Amino acid sequence: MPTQPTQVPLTAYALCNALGASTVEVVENLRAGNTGLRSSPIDLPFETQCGAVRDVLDAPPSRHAAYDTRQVRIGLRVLEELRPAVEIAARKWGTDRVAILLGTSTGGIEETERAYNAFRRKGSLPEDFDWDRKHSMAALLEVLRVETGLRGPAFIVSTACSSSAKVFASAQRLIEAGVCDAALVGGVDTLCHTTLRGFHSLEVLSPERCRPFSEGRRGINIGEGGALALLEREGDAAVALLGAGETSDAHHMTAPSPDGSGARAAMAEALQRAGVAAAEVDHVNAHGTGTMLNDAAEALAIRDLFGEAVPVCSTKGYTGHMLGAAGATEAIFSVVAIEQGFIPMSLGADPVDPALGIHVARERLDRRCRVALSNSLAFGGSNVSLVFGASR
Amino acid sequence: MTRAWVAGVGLWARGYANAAAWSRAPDATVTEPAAALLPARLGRRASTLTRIAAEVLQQAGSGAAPRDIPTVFATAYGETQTLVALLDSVFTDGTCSPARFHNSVHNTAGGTLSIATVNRACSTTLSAGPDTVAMALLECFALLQQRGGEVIAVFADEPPPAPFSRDGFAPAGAAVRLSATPIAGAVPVRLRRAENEVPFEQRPEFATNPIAPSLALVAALQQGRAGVFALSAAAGRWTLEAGTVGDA
Repeated sequence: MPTQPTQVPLTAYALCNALGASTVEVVENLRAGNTGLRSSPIDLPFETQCGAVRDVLDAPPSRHAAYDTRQVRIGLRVLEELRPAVEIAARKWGTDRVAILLGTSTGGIEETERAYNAFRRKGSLPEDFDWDRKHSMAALLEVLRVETGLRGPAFIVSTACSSSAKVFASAQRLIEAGVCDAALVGGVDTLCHTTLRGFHSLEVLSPERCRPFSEGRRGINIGEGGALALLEREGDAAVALLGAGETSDAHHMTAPSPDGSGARAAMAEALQRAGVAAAEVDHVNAHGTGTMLNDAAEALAIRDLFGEAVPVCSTKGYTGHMLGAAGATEAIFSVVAIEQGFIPMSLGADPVDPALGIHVARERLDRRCRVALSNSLAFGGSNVSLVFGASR
Repeated sequence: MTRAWVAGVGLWARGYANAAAWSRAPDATVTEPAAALLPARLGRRASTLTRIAAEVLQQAGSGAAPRDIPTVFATAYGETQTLVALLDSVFTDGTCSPARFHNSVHNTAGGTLSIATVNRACSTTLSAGPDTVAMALLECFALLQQRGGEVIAVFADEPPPAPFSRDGFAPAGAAVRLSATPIAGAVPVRLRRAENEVPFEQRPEFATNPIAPSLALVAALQQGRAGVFALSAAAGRWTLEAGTVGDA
């Protein structure tokens, strides 16, 4: 028999991205409506804006020297803040009962690019390049396992831009199934040539700051960063993960289904699993990339399910599209909305595209927020919706 | 965790066209999977990895396209052929093909096959180094417990091209279709974390392919052989226990 969904308290979280290197800094900039988008730190043959982590990132401790990539550096920076909470959870549940589930789309590819470029010029790979410790998706997992001592189930989900939202759904499933009692979830992605040039080749990269849901939107900006959260079977938390929905468009590798049906089905499934009616949702943190197609299809799905009143925000105008780290980052932004009682201004949206027919937050809305839904939509038609709710 | 029943299996590895062939000598004519599930427009650009995934998915569905069944794709390294071709063009002449880019993502096989089979159910793609097969099966059992019905696991890895190539990495993949409810004549299976490490016997041509444990496992399930099977390429503790057909 299928299990009844379990509410999973989110007991701790940490963020690092273009808005700041600490959670407090990120949230304050989100509240203040400050963008983290600047010109690209990577030398490119075209104009664009990026959400780069601007702090100098420390090299990993010497025991992880072979794993030194920008991805691991960001991952360790985020973990540092969360370490006390992880240690408490490990003691409470036992290290075997805490999973590590992380999303990434880039992995350590920024280092693979460097290695391949060196190979082309010199005919051999750099001596410190190791496929399994730098390129492989599992490298970050390995470092975080050693650093935390957690010995529960551990895997990476890589479904492009929905990766780190899917790990919240997996964590809830594993906790419901009794496989573990808690999970360290999240995601880390870094800026790299592959994604910047790739999205440019698809003609969806905006030369200026991205403007999701605006009638002047011209595409996406890429961002980087990391987000980690602790989900536990029981615990003292202001917010819990109530339910998740996961669907496939079965339409096209890069373009969303124009009628928004896949996104709509994911949101409907998330609400149903959460046991929440559409009318109870106070805020939607949209995927909102800023492309013509994504925003139109997603707005159609939101309007169809929630009507025109629910306040919608895309936070891509603050951080850029963090790809494999976007889902976890925006899930945490939704948690912050509930915990701190504000819906962020949808940066860059004004003037909102009138054809969308949804309520895009053109300024910050300070109000009580009990239930928030966060969308992540990806290449391959991978759709994820997460529903979070106030636990008291 | 609860039990599940094996509703179908698929296997393709260089030299082995299906699960029944695994116990025979390798066939040198088996060099590319047929991948009949892929329509021409998707098949033309599909990598070896995606073609293997298409082939084993079809076999596990008893030749039919699975509709609206949750699918878990497991690949440690993903679309390495496409990625390295992309890096080469970017760093040689600064060009980047949009199709190469979107086909370089880890969930290319998952997305392509969802489109090819019009499967709108939950699809995920995961990677866990030497535990890739084990973690995919864990996600499958959790999906079955959450939703009931059926779920399909697809395991596949293709050899990374030069300069990242290594020995003992022939292309290979396997698939298992699992049912949450008993099926007459089906093998019951259970996922377990063993007390002691369970050794895993490698074939040299697949020794460094991270999904190798799925090959011996699927071949045994196809034959209805009961036993405890190691799920990690290095000796590990995640195992799949296969019972005897008709076990209550």
